Amino acid sequence: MSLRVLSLNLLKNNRNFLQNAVRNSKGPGAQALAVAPYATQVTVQATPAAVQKQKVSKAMKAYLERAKEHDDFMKTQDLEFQIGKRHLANMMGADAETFTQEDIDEAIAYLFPSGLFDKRARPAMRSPEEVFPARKAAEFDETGRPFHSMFYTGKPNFFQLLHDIVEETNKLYDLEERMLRRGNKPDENQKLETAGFQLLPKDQLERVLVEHIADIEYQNFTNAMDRLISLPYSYKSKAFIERYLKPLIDQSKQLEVPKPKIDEQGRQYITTYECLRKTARADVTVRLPGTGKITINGQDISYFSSEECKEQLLFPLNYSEMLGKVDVEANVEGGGPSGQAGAIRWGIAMSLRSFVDQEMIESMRLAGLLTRDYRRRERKKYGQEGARRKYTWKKR
Amino acid sequence: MFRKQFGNLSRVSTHLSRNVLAARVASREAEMSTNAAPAEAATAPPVVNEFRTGVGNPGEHSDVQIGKFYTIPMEEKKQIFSGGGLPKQYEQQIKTFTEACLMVRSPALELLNYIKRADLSKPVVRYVLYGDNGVGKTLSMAHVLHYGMLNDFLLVHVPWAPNWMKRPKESANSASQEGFIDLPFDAAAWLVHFKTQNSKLLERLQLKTSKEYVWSKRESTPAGSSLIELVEHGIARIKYASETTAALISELKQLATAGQCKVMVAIDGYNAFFHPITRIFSDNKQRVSPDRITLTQPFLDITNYDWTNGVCILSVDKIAMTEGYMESYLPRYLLGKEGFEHLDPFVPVHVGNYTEKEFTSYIKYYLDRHWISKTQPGFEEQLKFMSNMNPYTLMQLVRGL
Amino acid sequence: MATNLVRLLEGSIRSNNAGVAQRTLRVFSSQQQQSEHSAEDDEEFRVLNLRTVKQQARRRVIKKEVVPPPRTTHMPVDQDWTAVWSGPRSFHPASVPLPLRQGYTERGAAAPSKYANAELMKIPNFLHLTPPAIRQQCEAIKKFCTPWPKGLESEATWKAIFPVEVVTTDYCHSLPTIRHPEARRVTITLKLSDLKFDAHAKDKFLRLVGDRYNQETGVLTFVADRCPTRKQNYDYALYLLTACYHESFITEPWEASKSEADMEVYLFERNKAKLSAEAILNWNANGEKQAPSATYADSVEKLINEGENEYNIAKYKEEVLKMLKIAN
Repeated sequence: MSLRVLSLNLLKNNRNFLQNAVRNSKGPGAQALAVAPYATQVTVQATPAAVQKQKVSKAMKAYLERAKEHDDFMKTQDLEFQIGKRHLANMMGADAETFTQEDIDEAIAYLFPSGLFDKRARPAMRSPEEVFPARKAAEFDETGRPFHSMFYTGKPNFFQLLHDIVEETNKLYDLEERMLRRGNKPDENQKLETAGFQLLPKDQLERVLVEHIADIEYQNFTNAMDRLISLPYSYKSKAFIERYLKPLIDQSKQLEVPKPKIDEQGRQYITTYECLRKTARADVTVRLPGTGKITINGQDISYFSSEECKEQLLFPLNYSEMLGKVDVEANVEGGGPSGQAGAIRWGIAMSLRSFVDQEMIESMRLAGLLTRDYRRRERKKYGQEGARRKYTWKKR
Repeated sequence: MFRKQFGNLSRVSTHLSRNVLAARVASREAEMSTNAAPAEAATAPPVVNEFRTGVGNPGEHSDVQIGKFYTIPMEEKKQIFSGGGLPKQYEQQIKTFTEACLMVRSPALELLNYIKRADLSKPVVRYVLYGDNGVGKTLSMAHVLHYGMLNDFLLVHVPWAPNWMKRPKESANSASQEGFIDLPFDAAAWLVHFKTQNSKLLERLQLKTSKEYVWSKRESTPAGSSLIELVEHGIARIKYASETTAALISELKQLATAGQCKVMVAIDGYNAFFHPITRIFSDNKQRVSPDRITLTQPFLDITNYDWTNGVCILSVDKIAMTEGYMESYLPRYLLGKEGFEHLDPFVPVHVGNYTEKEFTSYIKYYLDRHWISKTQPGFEEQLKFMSNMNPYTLMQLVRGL
Repeated sequence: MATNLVRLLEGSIRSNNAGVAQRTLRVFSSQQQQSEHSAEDDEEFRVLNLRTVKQQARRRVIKKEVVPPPRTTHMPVDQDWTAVWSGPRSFHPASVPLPLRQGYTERGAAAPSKYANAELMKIPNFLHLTPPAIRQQCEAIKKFCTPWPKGLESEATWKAIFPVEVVTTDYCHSLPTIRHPEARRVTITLKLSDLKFDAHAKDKFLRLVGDRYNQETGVLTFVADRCPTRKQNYDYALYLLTACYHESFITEPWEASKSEADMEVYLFERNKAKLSAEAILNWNANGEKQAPSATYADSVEKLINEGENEYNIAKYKEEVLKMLKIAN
C-alpha cells in the first residue's frame, strides 16, 4: 500500500532536478534509464499522499520537511554513487556500462588493501540503499491522523503481529471445537514439520518489522508462535507460520556424507581435517580395504600408553564393526594423550560415515560419536584453589 | 538401545580383567589338585594339541613348532631361573598356571640355528637380541639358555645387568684396584646364581684353576683347585666376591679356549655396561661411570672375540638406559660408539611382536588355563587391536586386578 | 550518451549544492525566515515578548569560511586518472571521486564517509598503480629494454653458464637521503655441485665455509655487508669464494695428525671394526692373511654413516653371517 502511494507522490510532489534532467536530455532512453532506479529506490521512505490546500498539522509539516530532505539526500547519494562507479571503472580501465557490484568490490579491495579482521570494517563502496537502513514511511495522514489503530503503542507492526498470531490461534481453536463436535480428528499426515526450522531470530524479526523490540517482547512473540505451532490444526495456518520460520542450515550440512576418493593403490580413502578435542588437533585418513593397521604420527597404537586412550581410539571402529577392515592414519599434535585420542576418535568416526550405511550413521550419531566435544579446560579463579574447588576452610 | 550397546563394548576390557578373579580361583583349585597328585602330574605325558608341542628339548625345535608352547620341567626351570632370568610377571604367571611354558618363537629358533651351525673352534660369535619394549627378548634368551643347559654349556648368565648400575645392594671401594668400586653383594649373588646353574656340570667336568690366586696375606686359592672351590670361596668371603668373579671368568675363558668346556654367555640388558653414568656414587659424591665398577670388566672381557668354544647371547634394551637415552631400540644407538666397537662384528637378531598365528595360539593358551573365562564374540579382535599383538601389553591387558 | 548523462548529473549536483548553500543561508538569516513563516502560517502561536526589541540580546553570528566544493565534482568521468594521481600518496577525500565508506558501526547506522575519515588514510592505497597506470609505465620503459640473449631461453641453460647468483636490494623511500644501509648487502649463492673437488678438498672446503653451506639444499651462500659500498662487498664475496676454493686444495702438514674424533665420516679402514674382523678371520691362521670383504666394510660404513634403520641392520646382519660362515 505504502509503496504505491509513495511513488505516486514522488512524481507529483518533488518536481525537482530529476524531472528537469529528464526533460533536458532529449532521448526517451535516458528517461527510462534515469527513472528506473528511483522508482525502486523509494520503497519505504517518502512523503505521504498529496498535500492539499486544507489545514496541515504542524507534525505533518515537520515530517514532510524531513521526508523531503531525506529524499533529496538519498538522491544525491545515488548520483554520487553512479558517478563514483563510472570513475572507478575509468580508473581500473574497465567499461563503465558493464561494471557490476562485484567488480567494484574487487577494485576497492585492490586499491585499498585493508588487513582489518572484520570485513564490515574495511573500506567499501556500495549503493546508498544498502548503506542507509530503511526508515518507516509516514504513519499518519496530512491531518495528523494515524493510519494504524495501534499507532500509539509505539510499535504498531509488532503488536499487529502479536494480534495476528492470536487471531490465528483463536481461529484454530474454533476449528478444533467444530471438528470435535463433528467427531473429526486432525490429519496426522499433514502435521506441521518444524524439525530443522527455527523461529526468526530477534534481529531478523526487527528487520522485517522495521521496529526495535525488547527482549521480553521477542519472548512474547516466540511464546505466541510456539503455542500456535503446537496446536493440532496448525497445518491449517501453515502459510502464516512459515513466514516467521527459518531453516536450520548447519544440521543439513553436517548430514552430507563426503564421497570417498581413490588413492594410488586403488583403495578408497577419506581424510578428515581439523579434528579437534581440547587443545589437540588431528587429521585422520581412513582407507577402506585394509587390515586394521593403525598409524599415529608414524607409530602404531602403542603411541598411547594408557588403556583408556586405546579404547577411545578403537571405539568407533568397534561400534561400526569395521575393526580390521580399514586402515587408519592419523597425524595429531597439541594437547595431552586423552585429548589426542579424543580428536582421533572423532576423526575416525567422521571418516567412517562414508563407508557405512545410513542406519549405522544414525546409530553412531545417537551414540555421540559424531558430536564434537566442545569442553575445554576451565580457568582457575582467584581466591580459589582451582576452577571450582575452594581453599580448605579452617575455623582457626 | 544404543546405550546398552555402548556400555557393553566399553566394558569389554574390564570384563576381561574382572574375570581374572574367577580364573585365579580356578587356577588355585587346579594347583591344589596338582599338589595332591604330584607324582601323577610328573609322569603324565605332556599334552599335545594345536597350541602345545610335546617336544621338550629346545635342540629339536624347528619351524614346525613355531607358535606352540613347550613345557620346561620344574626342576630344570628351578636350576636355570631360580636366580632370575624370567620377567617377574611371567614368573607370577608360571606360578598361577602351575607350569613353566614357553612359546617357540622364530627369534629363538633363529638363534638356536646359528648356534648349532657355528664352528666352535672359531672365535665366539656375539648375538645381539634387540627389539621394542615387551616383545620377548628375555624369554627368547631363556629359551636359548634352556638349550645351553641341556647341551652341556657352562652358563654365564646375567639376568639383568642394569641392576648393578641402577640399584646395587652395596658398594665399596675396591681394595685391589685404585679408584674402582666393588659391588660385593651383587657379585656374590651372581656367584650363587652361577653355582646353581652349573654345579652339576662343574662336578662332572672337574675343571681346575690354572694359577694361584692370592686374596690376602692369609687367604689364597692354589693353582689346580677346582672351580667350585673358587666359587664357594667367593660366596663365603663376600669381600672378595668381585675379584673371584673376575678370576672365574678369566679361568672359564682359558678353559674354553683349551677345549675343556663349552661356555654360553647370556647377558640381558648388556647396553647398561656402556651407559654414560650409573647411580653409584664414589667417595667424592660423584656418579661413577660403569667402567669404574669392578664387575664390568670381566663381563666385557668375556664378550670379546678373543676366545673360542663359546657363544655369547646379549640383549640390548631401551629400559636398561635412563631418560634421554631411550629414543630408539636399535642396537647401534643403544650400545653407543664404544659398545658397538667392542661387539663388532655381531649378529643382530630382531625380536618383534606376535604374528597372527602366535597371537591366536596365546589366546588359546589363556583360554585353556581359564585365565580368560568370559568370551563375548569378537573379544579376540579387540585384544588384538588393543595390544597391537605386543606380548607384554597383551599380558597386561588380561592381567588380574 | 554517457558523457551527456554525466554532465547532467554534474549539473544536478551543482544545483543541489547551490540549494544546500541557499538553505544554510536561510537558516542563518533567521529574521527574514521568521517573517516568511508568519506570513505563510497564520496559526503560529504569538510569542509574548516582555522585553523590548532593544533589550533582546543579540546573538552573535558566527562567520564561517565558505568552503569550496571538492574538486572531485569537476572531474569528468573519462579523465586520465594517472595524471590526477601520479605517485604514491596517502588518501585525500577531495581528490578521489569515489563515494567510499569505511568503519565499523553498530547495526542500523551507515559507515563513516570518506571525509575526515582517518581510517582511510591509515591503510595503504594503490591508486597510483591502477592497471592502466601500470600498462602506461611499462610502455614507457620498454625502450630501455634490450632483447634477451639468444641461447639462454630456459633456466637450465643459463644456470649451467652462470651458476653464481648475486642478490642485491635497491631501496626506494622518501627520506632526504637516497642511501639505505641495507643496499650495500650482497648475497651470492651457488650450488656446491657446480664446483669441482676431490675428497680431501671437499671436506676441507665444507669445514672452511661452515654454516654457509646448507646441507639439505646443497646451496652455498655468502653474505657480505662489511664494506661501505656494494661494489666492495661484491668483490669481497667473490674473493671469499675463490679463496676458500683454492685453500681447500692445499694440504697442510698438520692435517696428517687428524684423529678419529675429527673424522666427519666413518671409514671402515681407519676403525677398530677392521681390526676385529681381521682378527676373527685370521684366528689361528699362520699362512696368508684373509681380509674382510668389501661388502662387509660397506655395510658397516652405511650402518654408521646413514644411521640405523631396519634395512641397514638387516644388510649388516647378512654380511656378518656371511663373513662368520654361519649363513644358511
